[in-house]
Amino acid sequence: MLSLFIGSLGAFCALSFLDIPMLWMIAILGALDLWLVGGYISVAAIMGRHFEFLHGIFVLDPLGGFFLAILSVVAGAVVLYNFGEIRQRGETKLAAHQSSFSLGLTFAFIIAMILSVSGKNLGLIWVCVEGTTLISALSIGILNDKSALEAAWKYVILCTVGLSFSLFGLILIIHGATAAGFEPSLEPDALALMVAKFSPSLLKLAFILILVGYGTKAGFAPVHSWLPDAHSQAPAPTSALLSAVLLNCSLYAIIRTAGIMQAAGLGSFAKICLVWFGLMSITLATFFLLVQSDLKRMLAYSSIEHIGLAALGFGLGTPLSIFAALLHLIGHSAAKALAFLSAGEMVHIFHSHEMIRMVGAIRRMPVTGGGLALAMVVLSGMPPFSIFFSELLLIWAALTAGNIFLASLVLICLATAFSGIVFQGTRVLLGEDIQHHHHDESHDHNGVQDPGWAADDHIEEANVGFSWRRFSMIVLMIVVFIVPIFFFSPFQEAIVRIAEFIPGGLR
Amino acid sequence: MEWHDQLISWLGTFILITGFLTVIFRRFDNILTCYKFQSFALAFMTLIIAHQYGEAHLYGISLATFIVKFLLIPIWVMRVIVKIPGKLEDHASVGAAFSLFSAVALLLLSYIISRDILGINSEKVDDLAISLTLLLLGLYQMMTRRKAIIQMMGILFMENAITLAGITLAKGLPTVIEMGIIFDVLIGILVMITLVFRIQEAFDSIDTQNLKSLKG
Repeated sequence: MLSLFIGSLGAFCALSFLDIPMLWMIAILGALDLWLVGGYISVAAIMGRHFEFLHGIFVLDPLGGFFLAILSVVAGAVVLYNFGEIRQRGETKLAAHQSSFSLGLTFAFIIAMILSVSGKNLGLIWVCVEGTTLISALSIGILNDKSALEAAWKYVILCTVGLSFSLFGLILIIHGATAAGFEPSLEPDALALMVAKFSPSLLKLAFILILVGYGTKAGFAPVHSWLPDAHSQAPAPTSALLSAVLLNCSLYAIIRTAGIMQAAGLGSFAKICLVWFGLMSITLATFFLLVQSDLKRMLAYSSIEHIGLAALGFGLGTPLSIFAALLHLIGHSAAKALAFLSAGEMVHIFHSHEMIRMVGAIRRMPVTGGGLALAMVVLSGMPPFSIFFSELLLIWAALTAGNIFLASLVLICLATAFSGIVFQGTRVLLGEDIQHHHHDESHDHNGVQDPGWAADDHIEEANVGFSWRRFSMIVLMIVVFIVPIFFFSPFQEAIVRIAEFIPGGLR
Repeated sequence: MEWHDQLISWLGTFILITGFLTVIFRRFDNILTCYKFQSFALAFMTLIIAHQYGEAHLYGISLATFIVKFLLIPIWVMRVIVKIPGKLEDHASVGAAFSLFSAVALLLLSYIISRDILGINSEKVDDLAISLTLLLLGLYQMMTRRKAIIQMMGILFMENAITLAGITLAKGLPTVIEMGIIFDVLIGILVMITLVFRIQEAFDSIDTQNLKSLKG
């Protein structure tokens, strides 16, 4: 089943690179494949069914199934959005990011991420995560302008260097096995049995190297510097995948490694490292969130904040905090994908990343503006949505763990981030329509380059009727509304079952 | 079995020296030559270790290292270089003497770390120290060099350091993973060369000083 799933995606990938005439069929089939087959596989995996690919090299367990579930939902919507971009190419000169090549890259990126969450062998996870870096670097640089190239170069250099350190850490673990007289292996189950006899200092160094490496990719501060650049410069589908799925994949690799540390009796060391990285990410991201004027950059810093919160939850390592962290990942991925897709649409229509240009957007573009508004409300942590509850549970978990300092620091950061996002969001979306004023400005600055922007007086939701891009946003909006049901049984029990596979969980 | 160990330690020293030379050299073709020699020594060392321990899969890895890192990558990179106009001399932000001094400091640091971690009596202290030094030298090169293509060489040197650690400390990773890593290196070079080309087109230079517009 898993082989069929990955194989069909591979076929779609190849067909889109070939640019066959019936691209719409590829896109729709790909999205359906991701939603239905991917959804079925991940639910079955969470329920305990065993899937394997390539003679058991790749296996999917409930933890992998959880990450695959998030991936499938988001990736399906992204594929449709990407196809919507290609659809528009008839009118304008064909840009690289609007060609079928970009759809092929998106499929390849999705496949690499599916492989990395269905790897159990630590070495294999590394190979796949490095693969995602290389593929996504191409799709970040696809816009081919100067800043996109800069972002792509920084991304590929920083992440490859970080992952080199991770690989070095893995080699140290293998050395630990040989030095202790065992058959070397990177299978977590085999390692868990023998890791207690390894030298603790060697394991600690290995874990720090691995954590820093994958942490670079997950966007932990202070090694996050590629993230805002890449997220803001990439085309919208890539930004959405990077933020909503790729960061989770690196977190998955970190969780797997932390499991080894737990088995070696060094679980508390691993947890402290994770808590520190999480705390640093939250504080730093909150600070930078407040001063952004670029919409996509602000969303990127919000990603750092939320990934930091999830790391904090896994780091606290109580059943409650892990439950909260898992739910936080679901809520963040759904809302962030929606945010980046609608932000991409806004950038496309307003020809600018600057939020000041988009004032009053919701009146002119009900769907896109509404999507962005909903995403921002969710991301800021407003009550009826899931992120509010998971943040509440996280703080509660920190308090019950007796860590009042941690809880209050996180609370301050969350409140600050909340006010930052709400302030920017209300200004951009609901603010007074002062379009004419900005028109004059745009004439001064780049009226010549952007005749389209300067010419029409009323910017409105691009040509009425059915649009794949808007359709994908509406799907994600529905998903965002659905997410809070995971707090109720029987869904709650499913999450608890996944939490058992995480070190410090119920097991 | 004495000659195995002796030859391995000679090769290790040779690899370390090529690593030192890379931080001193300014011109790109010299650095690439260093890389070729280092990769050759690495492939040879893998062969000897394969013979010493009778590990069949290491023969394959030795061959793959030789083909990919000694033949394929240098030829590939050379073909790109001829298309980039201008002399590929790097104005590093630090001088050669300072670089050499830093390299020695990194070597000492690596020895201290590996002795602390493995214990003073472990026979693997040298191996870990050399690979850790090479890893840090690769990082040092990426931080001090400005030309994009030389930063890319830094990544290749780091990857060599990891391969060295893999064969000396762990007697090779599992074959599937080793092949995966080599595959990743190949794709990585392809992607980075593509980016270098595009940077050259967009900025008319491959100086990474130009890549500083995104901040905050």
